[in-house]
Formats: sequence, C-alpha cells, structure tokens
Amino acid sequence: MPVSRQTELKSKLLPFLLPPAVLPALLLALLLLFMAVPIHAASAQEATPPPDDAVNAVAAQIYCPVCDGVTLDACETKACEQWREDIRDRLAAGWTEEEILGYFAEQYGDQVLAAPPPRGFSLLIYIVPAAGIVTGAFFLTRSIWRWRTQGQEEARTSIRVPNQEAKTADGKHDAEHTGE
Amino acid sequence: MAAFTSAAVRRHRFEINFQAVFVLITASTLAFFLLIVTFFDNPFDSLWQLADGSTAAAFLQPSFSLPVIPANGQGMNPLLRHPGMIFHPPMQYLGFVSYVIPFGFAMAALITGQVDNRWIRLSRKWSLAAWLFLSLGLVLGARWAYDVLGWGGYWGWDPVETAALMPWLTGTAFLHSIYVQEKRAMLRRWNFVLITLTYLLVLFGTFISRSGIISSVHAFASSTVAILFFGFISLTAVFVLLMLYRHWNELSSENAVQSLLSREVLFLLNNAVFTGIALVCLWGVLFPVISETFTGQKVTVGPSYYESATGPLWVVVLLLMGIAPLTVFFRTSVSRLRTMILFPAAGSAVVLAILLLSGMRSAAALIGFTVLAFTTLVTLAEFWRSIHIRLSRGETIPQALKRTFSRNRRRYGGYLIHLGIILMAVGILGIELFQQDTQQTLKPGETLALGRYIVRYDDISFYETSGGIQQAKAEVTVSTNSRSAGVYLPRRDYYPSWGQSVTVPAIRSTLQDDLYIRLIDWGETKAEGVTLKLYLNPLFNFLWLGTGVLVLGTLAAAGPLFGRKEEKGKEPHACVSTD
Repeated sequence: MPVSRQTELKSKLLPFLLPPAVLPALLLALLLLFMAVPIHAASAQEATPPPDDAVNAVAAQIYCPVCDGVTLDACETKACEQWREDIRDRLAAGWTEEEILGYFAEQYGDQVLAAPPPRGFSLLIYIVPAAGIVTGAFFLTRSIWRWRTQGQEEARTSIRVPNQEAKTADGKHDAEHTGE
Repeated sequence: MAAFTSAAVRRHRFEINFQAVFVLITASTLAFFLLIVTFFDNPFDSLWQLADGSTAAAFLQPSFSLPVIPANGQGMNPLLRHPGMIFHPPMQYLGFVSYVIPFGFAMAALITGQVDNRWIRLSRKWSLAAWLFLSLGLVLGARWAYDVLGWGGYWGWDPVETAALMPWLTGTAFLHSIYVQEKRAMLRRWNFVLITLTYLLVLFGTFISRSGIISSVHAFASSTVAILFFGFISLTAVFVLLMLYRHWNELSSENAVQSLLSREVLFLLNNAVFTGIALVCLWGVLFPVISETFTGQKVTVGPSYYESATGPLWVVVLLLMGIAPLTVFFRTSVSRLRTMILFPAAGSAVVLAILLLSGMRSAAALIGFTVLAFTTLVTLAEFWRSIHIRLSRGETIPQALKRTFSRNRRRYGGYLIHLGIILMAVGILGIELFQQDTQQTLKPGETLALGRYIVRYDDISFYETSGGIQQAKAEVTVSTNSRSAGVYLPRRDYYPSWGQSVTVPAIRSTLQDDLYIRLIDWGETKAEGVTLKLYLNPLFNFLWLGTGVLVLGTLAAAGPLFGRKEEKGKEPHACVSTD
C-alpha cells in the first residue's frame, strides 16, 4: 500500500522534477556565485575605502589602549589615529566587526573591549548583579510579607477597625493636599 | 567641614553629650583628611634637588638640597579651562562634606543612645542640602564633559563619575527613608545603615576621584594613601555595625506594615532599588581591580554593563515615582487608588498610542516614555488637586500656588523635584536612544547631512592667540529645510606648552535637539578640506532644563524660597537640652 502511494506521488510530481544532469550543474553554478561574491565585494571596497562612519562604528566599541576611559572613535592621540586607519584597512580587507574586536583584544588585552567578554572569571561581572538582584528581591518580598502579617495581626487586635482606618487614611490624604 | 560642624552646633543647640560625640565624629573625619594631605600627599610639596643630583618632592627643604624652581609655570591643564570646572569641583566637594554632618548626627545618636527620631529631624535639611550640591556637582560635571571632551556625550560611566554617582543614589534613598521614619517610626535600623553607606561612599568617591588608582592593582597596593583610606573605611563600617548591634532591639520598628498598598512599602521599594543601583555600580567600579587581583587580566567595565544592569532598575524607580504619590501611609483603599490612577493611566496609554503611530519601535523608548508620561500626569494631578481645592475656596491662582508650597513644602517641593527628574530623564532617553552621528571629509562648498540638518563647509582659518594657543577654526553654515540656521565655528586649540589639543565643538542647541559639530582634521589650505564629525542629540536640552526645576524643587522643599518666615520658629529643636 505505501509503495503504490509513493509511485503515485512521484508520477504527480514528475513534471516538476529535473533531469539528473541539471542538479550538479546548478550546484556548481551556486558554488561559483558564492565564491565570486567575496571577491567582488573585496575589490569594490578596495576601490573606495570604508567611510569614516563604518570605521567609527567599530572604533566606538574599542577603548583606547593608552588613554584611560576614552573610546577609539573619540580619541585624539596620534596612536589612536593609526589604530583607526588599521581598522579601516581591515574592514577593506573584508574583516568582520567581531574579527576586528577579537584582534584588538588579543593584541592589547581584554581591557580594550568596552565590557569583559563573558567567559571564565569575567562571567562574574554579569552573574553577581543578576544573582544579587534576585536574592535581594526575594529577601525584600519575604520581609515585607512577614511585616505585613505582623501588622495585620496588630490591626486585628487593636480597637480600630481596618475599614475605618482606610477612611481616616483617605481623609488624611485630602488634608495633606491642602496641608490642613 | 569645620565650618559646617560649627554651623550645625550653633544652629541646633544640642544636648551636651550629643554635641560632644557629634563634634568628635566630624573632627575625626577632618583629622583623617588632614593627616593624609599633611604627611602622605601634600599638595604644597615643592621639588628639591638633592646632593646626589636627583630630585625629590617634599614640603620642607631636605638637608643639602637646593630648591628646583621651574622657569615658567605651565598654567592650568587646558581641558579644565571651562566655566563648568569653576563650579563643578566645589559643588561636588560641598555635597561630599555636607553628608558628613548627618552621619555625625547618626553616630552621636548611636553612641549616646538617643536613638529616637531626633537625629532624623536634624539630618533632614543637611541631607537635602548635601543632595542638592551633589546633584549640581554631577550635572555640572556632565556639562563640562559635553562641552570640553568633545565626544558628543555627557556621561561615560567612568569609575570617577560612577564613584560620584553612588553617594547620590544612597543619598536619594535616605531622603525618602527618613520621611518614613518620621511618619511611621519604621526603617530605624535601615536609616543608620543608609547614612553610613552614604558616608563610606563619599570617602570612597573622594579616594577614587583624587587618586584614579582603581585602574591598576599595582599602583593600588603600593600606595599608602589607599591602605589608609581602606583602613578608615573598614574601621568605620565595623564600628557602626557594632554600635547597631548594641542598640539592635531598641531600634526595632514601632509599627508594622498594614498593607502592601501603603506609602511606606513603596518607599521601602524605592530604597531597595536605589541601593541596588548603587551596589551594581560599586561592583562595576571594583570589578577591574578584583579581576586583576585574581586572574592578572585587566578588564574595562564600560557603559554597556551599567546600562544593561541598571536600566531596568531605573524604570522601576520612575514607575515608583508615579505610584507612590497616589498612596498614603498605613493603607490605601483600592477603590480610591483606582479612581486616581484612571486618568494618568489613560493619558499614558494615549502617549503610547501616539508613539506607536508615529512609527517608534524601540522597546526601551516605548517603555521609558510611557512610564514618564504616567509619572508626569500623576505628579501634575497632585498639583492640580491642591490648586483646584484652593481655587474653589476663592483663592487667586498665585495665592493657591504659593500656599500649596508653603503649607506642605516637603510634599510639593518633592513633587517639583520629581518633575525635574522626569525632564532630565527625557533628555537622557533622547540622547541615549536616539543619538546619531556621522563623519566625512568635505571640500569647500560640500555638504554633510544628519537628521534635519545640512552642514556646509565654507572656510578654515588659523590663528595664534596672545596666550600662545594655536587655533584652527572652521567655518560651516548650518541649514534646516533649506533655511539657514546660521554660521558655526568648530575649532581645535593646540596648547604647545602642554603638547595637548582641545576640541571646541560648535553646538546648535534647541529644545528639539542639539547639533554638535566637531572639527576632526584639516588640510593645510582651505581647498584641501576638513573632516567634520556631527552628532545629533535629540531632546538633550531637557537634561539642563530638568536640573533647573530640580534646584527650584529642592529650594521649595527646604523652605527659604516659598516657605513662610514664621515657620522657622516652629523648627523642631531636637536633642535640645531639657534641663
């Protein structure tokens, strides 16, 4: 039963199936096309170097290795000017942003990156605040909850009925507006 | 600090034991700093040439040495020659120093055992003044960075900046938490912790901004000043904890929370979030040192860390700022909250709809502006309610306004500060989320477009000022929608004596946006062209506008501007001698 169904399907699809020789030819053509793209792109970039904006977009993510706290796109030293030209050359040679960042980190250490790469010891920079906020939120909720239970018990044992208190509190709110 | 201490003593007429301890605390802080500048880091050290030919810095002349007198002073670092720099350091300093006074009150209360609300009442105005100075210090510093550093920004999460922000954060929390203690006698232990934290962060901030030592572990370990600072900070922390432990039971809250929908709970959340932001910042500042100590790897913790870690917390702060005014102490009835929240919620939904229709798709901007709209409407509605009641009683508008403030200075002053913060947040969101920049080399007559602006390069000229500064000044014409918006002169000043150049950007500033033009590079002749970098900073002026409102609000909350004179006499004289 399944076999007959398969042949049925095949016969239906027959007009759409290609002759066997066409497929390898098509693959080859695709391969050639993919190979041609980078060559073409690189040659185009060599003709017109990457614009300042492209260079700055990468440079803004790198801290100047010699000055403190200045990103490479805003730094005015001669060294940084050369580094910007270095970025331009690498962009022209077809390097991606990540590759350039990785290259600078390797050359001058992780401190040129705007944030430590999330691996090894540096993972702590990201984990500690997140863990701290979650733990803090937990303890805060717990203590407010406890405090409230205590407060509700007090309110129950006190003479004032909570409803009345709400009213007085609202009255107080109005009074606070006028200060009277 | 001595002047502030004496002013506090004159003004408040303390009980004698309280005064003794208060003066002891402020005087020991002063002594600590004097010790450092006298023996370890004297700013008046002179250079001396020793007998063996080497030079050394010392205050007094070492034996067998000759003074080294430079032929000519270099003058001030060119980067610091800006009006912002005249006021920024004193403001920051006054802010830091004023926080020592409430800390002194807190310690005097703990040591003498007068741990009731009196120290809180004494601290209020001092901490408000400290907070104002610190706010101004931060904003003036930001203005200086914007005008002088020439990177189109105002805040870079640099360790020095962040260290100055931290005491501001805990100080803001303190302004709110003392209110809860006064009204509800709660958070009594927490207030001691908070003011101590603020004081310690002030010490830490002074240390960081004066030494810059945090960037390297080796410089840090070899510095006596660093060891002294951290010794002093740790000793203070241990001492305060011990004193708190001694009074722990005495300091339990007199009241408990009755409802989650009460102002005290929201203020508590506000405190938690502000302290959280401060701790996240502290971790960011300390992490490079920790990392280098344990792994030897230097790292930079830049804006991306601070923005992603504190961003959501800031949204919570702004949201709390919108909800808290709707609640009351003890318990807020749900029906009342519902009626009061209706109009602001509807209004902010309209704002959200307008933003979406206008094509804004950035989630951060949508959340940010919607929350800001909500908080603005809540705050304005609070003003409206008071003024409306007064108008219905036949008061005139100025009368109603004046009495709104004078009858409840703290509340409405506080709301005015909130409005200031909202305006500042609009400016910050504008520049952080929508800043654009572009850079290009232009030949004469060529143009560069950014946003609604078109900038045309016309000319460049070179001068040498009488002070020996070599200036390169470009002349560009700015136009919007084919209408000229004037000629601007971005320039670069070179100071030969320092071997340093300073970019002086030309800024076209409107409420809608700032166009920031920076001269990057130029050829020897006009025809060779210039390289310009343009930044477009939308809504940025709201930051400065908001600061103005914040100052007004703080003055209103403190009293002298809108306060009535007779109220001065009613000032609660806490800790006054009863005998």
